[in-house]
Amino acid sequence: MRPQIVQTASTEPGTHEPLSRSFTLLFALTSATAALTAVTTLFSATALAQAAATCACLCLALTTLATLPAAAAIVFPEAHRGREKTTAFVGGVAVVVAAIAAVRHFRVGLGVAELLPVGGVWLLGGLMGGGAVLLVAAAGRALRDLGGRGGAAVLAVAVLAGGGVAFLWTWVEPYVPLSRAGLASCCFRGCGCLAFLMAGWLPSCPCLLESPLCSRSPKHY
Amino acid sequence: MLAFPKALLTVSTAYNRHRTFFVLPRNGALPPPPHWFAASTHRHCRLMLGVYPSTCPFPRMFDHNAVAVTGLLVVAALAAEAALRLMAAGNGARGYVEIL
Repeated sequence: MRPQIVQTASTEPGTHEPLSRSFTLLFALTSATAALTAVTTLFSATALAQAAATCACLCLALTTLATLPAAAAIVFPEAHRGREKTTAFVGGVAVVVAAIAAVRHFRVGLGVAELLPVGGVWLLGGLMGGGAVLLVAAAGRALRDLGGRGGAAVLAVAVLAGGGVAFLWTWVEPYVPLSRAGLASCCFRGCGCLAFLMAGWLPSCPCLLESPLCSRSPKHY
Repeated sequence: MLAFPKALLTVSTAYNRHRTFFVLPRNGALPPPPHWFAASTHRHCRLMLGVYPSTCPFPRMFDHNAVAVTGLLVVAALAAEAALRLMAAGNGARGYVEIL
């Protein structure tokens, strides 16, 4: 009688690594973004605050990039499907580019984008595109006849909850003018005026409002 | 004579006003504290001073930073659960593999 080894299918080598790597990168970038945003709020408007906010925006862009291999690993978890993973990555890039173009065209979330010191609408569109890519990947994993449908469903719930929290934050924000100046407290872009420091309770950077406090012409977008 | 240091300070602040990074003076001294330092400190302390907008739909200690942090916690917990479930699913093959 031949010796027989029985193991669970999920212990096949090469199946954990892409997912764990990409999700580790996602969590690390999210934590870095949150920490840098907190640091930005702690500093008043200085060059340090601006550097921290710029690094936070860089982390947001890298988060958008990190969603793409995660989505590819979710849809095609098999180790031998390298070509399909590459195709999924390229499709994710296309979806992100389309989301950025849509956000720039339809002018979605300009109130949130003006809080970001660097590349506001681009970062916003990239994040929304990344969420869409993850949603599509979860749907694809659920449609394929594979295990892990529960994980895909939980991921879809997580992405939708993130979108809901972002919508709630955007909806609540005009009612909370006190701590509005988060990343915008280091808005040195464009005109370079410091009027928003003298009038910190203004709803946003006065350069965007073209207030008389700012003497120089705004150069945004 | 007494007005000279103040005038120098004013000129230096005005020169550095539109710059991202302050230009250090030639004598090696630190740049003067900007004129809006007290105002910005006051801005960050206003919540602790008890000024609170009556239009805020959330309770006093739950400002929009707390909203963001809570949402981030919930989303991160859900995403961690999803990642662990997907990793437990492996390559998606059901059942067991028999290595003969």
